[in-house]
Amino acid sequence: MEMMVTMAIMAIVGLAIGVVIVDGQTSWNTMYGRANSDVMTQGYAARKKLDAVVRGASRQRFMIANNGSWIEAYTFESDASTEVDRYWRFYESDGDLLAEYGTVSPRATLSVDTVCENVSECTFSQNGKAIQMTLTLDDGNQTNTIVSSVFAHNY
Amino acid sequence: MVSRTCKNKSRRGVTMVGTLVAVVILLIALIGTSTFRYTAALDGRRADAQTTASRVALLLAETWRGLNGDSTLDPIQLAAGDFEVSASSWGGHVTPDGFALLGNYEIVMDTGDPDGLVYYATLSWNDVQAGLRALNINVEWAQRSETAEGAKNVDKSYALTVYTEVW
Repeated sequence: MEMMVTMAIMAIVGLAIGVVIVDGQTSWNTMYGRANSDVMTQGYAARKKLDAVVRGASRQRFMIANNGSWIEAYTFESDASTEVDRYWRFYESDGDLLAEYGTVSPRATLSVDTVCENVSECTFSQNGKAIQMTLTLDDGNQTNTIVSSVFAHNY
Repeated sequence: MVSRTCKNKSRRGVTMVGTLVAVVILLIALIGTSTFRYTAALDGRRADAQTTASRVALLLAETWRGLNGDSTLDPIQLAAGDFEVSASSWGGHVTPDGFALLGNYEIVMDTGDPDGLVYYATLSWNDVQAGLRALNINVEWAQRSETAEGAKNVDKSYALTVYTEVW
């Protein structure tokens, strides 16, 4: 009889503990994913990259696709540059957000960097001197939508 | 024989108590661990909400600055895809003293996220001096609630003031 009571107590307690552990672990995994998953960190990286480029870009000149699929910002190679001589082009290709960097004249590509992967949608728009990027990242398990607006500081 | 019987009964009693003690110790350890994880997850969620609020404020500030603090800015037009911006009917918006109200807005970063929070943004402006305008963005949210009645529990805010030249 004592053994049965003990087993019943252990079973109830064990079941309760199991439920708590599973629930806690699930919540933990969800929260950890929301903060540290690839789509989250890549979203931050994309936003910072756009910030860095557009903030240093000339506000006098932007090129943007009619459907918002790409944007081109113009920057200065150095403090000695008297006019824009470098360009950055952001566009989505095969699920990657790419940043192409090159010279304006003659037009030549110097590098193409992959800013982030898992891109399911990326559109750009312009509001005066600010550039807006709406980026949706989806790795199949999690989706992250980044909406960022950057103001160009340079003339 | 009598003595042995008594001894056996005593041992069975100790086994029961020992089991219960073990269960209690185990429970204390697991509840402690669960509490730690729960708190960590909750704090992570709060941090995520505050980070998002700051991003919302920066988004509005940069967009508004891009238009030189235009008093006809319509943030609702920023909505795209799952990013939703709408006029707010929440009664808790407060415009800072000396500032003119541009509008009150409800913002949802991802309408497809069932855990997504609603952010309440108050946009206002003030001409500090000729040619210089202060743009104030105050974003508030309910970190304690995820329900449709979250607006009643708004308890956190993030304010950002930026300046722009006015042409």
